[in-house]
Amino acid sequence: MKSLAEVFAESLMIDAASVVDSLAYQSIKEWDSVAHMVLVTALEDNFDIMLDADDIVAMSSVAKVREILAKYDVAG
Amino acid sequence: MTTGNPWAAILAGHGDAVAVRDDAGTAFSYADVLALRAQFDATLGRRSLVFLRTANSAASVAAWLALLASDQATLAIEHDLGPDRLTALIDLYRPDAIIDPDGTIAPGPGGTALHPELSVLLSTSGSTGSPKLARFTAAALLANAAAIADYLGLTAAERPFLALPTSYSYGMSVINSHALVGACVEVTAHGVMQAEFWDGLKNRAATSLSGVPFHYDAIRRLGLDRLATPTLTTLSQAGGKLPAPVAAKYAEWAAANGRRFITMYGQTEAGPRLTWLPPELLASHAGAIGVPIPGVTIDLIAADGGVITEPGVSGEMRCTSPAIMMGYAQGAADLARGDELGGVLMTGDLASREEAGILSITGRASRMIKLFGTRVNLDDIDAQLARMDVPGVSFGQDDQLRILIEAGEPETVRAALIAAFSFPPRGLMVKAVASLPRASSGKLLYGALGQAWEAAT
Repeated sequence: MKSLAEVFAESLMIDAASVVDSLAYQSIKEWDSVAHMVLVTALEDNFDIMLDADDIVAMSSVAKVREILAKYDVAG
Repeated sequence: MTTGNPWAAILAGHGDAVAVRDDAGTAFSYADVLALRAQFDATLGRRSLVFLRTANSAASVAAWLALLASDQATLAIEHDLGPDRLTALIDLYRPDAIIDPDGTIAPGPGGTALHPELSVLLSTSGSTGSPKLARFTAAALLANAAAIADYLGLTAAERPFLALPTSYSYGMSVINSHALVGACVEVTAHGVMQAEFWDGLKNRAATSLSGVPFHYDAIRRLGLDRLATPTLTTLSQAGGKLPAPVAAKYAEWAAANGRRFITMYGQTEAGPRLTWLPPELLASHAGAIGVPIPGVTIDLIAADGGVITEPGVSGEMRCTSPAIMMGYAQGAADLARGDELGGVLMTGDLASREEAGILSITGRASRMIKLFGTRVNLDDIDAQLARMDVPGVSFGQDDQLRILIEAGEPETVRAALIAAFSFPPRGLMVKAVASLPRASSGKLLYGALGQAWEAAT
């Protein structure tokens, strides 16, 4: 199982070093809606969870994603 | 300034009705739009070539409508186009003024002669800031808006939720067709994967939504029940081929929920819309593009130039429409040219027609792909590689832009292309090869690029 940072880095095709809590959706070109779809699937596959649609649309930053994953008992 | 432009009288007829509202609640009435037009006219002083940098805001849509109804010649481009791409366009076309999304006017180099009928210019690929533009008269865009209003049955009561970029032909056509009938465009800068998009769709009582295939994939992931707001009655789709199974899912949902899902096809060069699939045909013809819109005729042309009459045989779509562009522009001198096409366009897309006349796309003849809905001219990518001194070639298919390079680091080239352009980065991959497949004459073998890709690491 990969860490949250690794899943982000692979899905957005960015450096793991760029994956900080404050990184926000649409703040970089690489995190657009296309990458977001890839991210959602990657998170679900990696952590073996099914994300609720309301959670998907609330995933506006790395910090927010961490918070949401905690609800699914995932510590990334 | 004269008001010979037919749009002026049309917008004036809507009086104080609201023309556009955005996420912040800022609204402009049609009267406000005409006042803005007067302001622009006063500042510009004479018929000018204007670059309008657009955004998904009320001020930007109002500026677009003001210019559409004026005697200026306007090129609409997204505000987030890379600065060096914008500079390149300014240097090439020498506009008299550049207008920002908030309406601020800055002077440009000026001096370009304009054909008297030229009203609007659209880039053939906004995400790359392609210098290849399509030239339109005001009447052409009006003809397309009227055809759209006709087949969609648009009235002033419509409230389209517009998340598409407003300088792209599809987004622009939503604005133009609704402005024709005096409706209010609910423009949003939010994306389909954001909670704010869905809140807005519901709270602003939107009646329609327009999207490219990617949007409809995203909505399926989120669950189609989100679409069942009290007011949303029409979903429209263009910007690429929606796979038949996905179209079938939406057909099923629309029928079960009393809404309409309408697939359409068009091209920037056509002003832009060309065909639509009447919603009652969606279930039986999922994946088809339908029939020509009012005023449009489509012939399928065989490789030998003859018109195909047999059902099921593919040919290139040749479209006759009052909305077709006058022609392309590749430099400032071209803006003085008039109509070169006489309303007839070879689309570069291949299609076949079944007995009842329903058209389906079968392939693409031109060097162009769609990356999650945004059009990319492969020749523009190759031009950028040349500017970067990287020997390589671009190719691919929808949603997969591939670059093969003979020198340079793939990661570095990829990062540079992402920075230069604004198409979705996920669609781009770069690989290195020792040498590109070539014929003994030295000519690139485009047909062998796929194999070369698979063989590379």
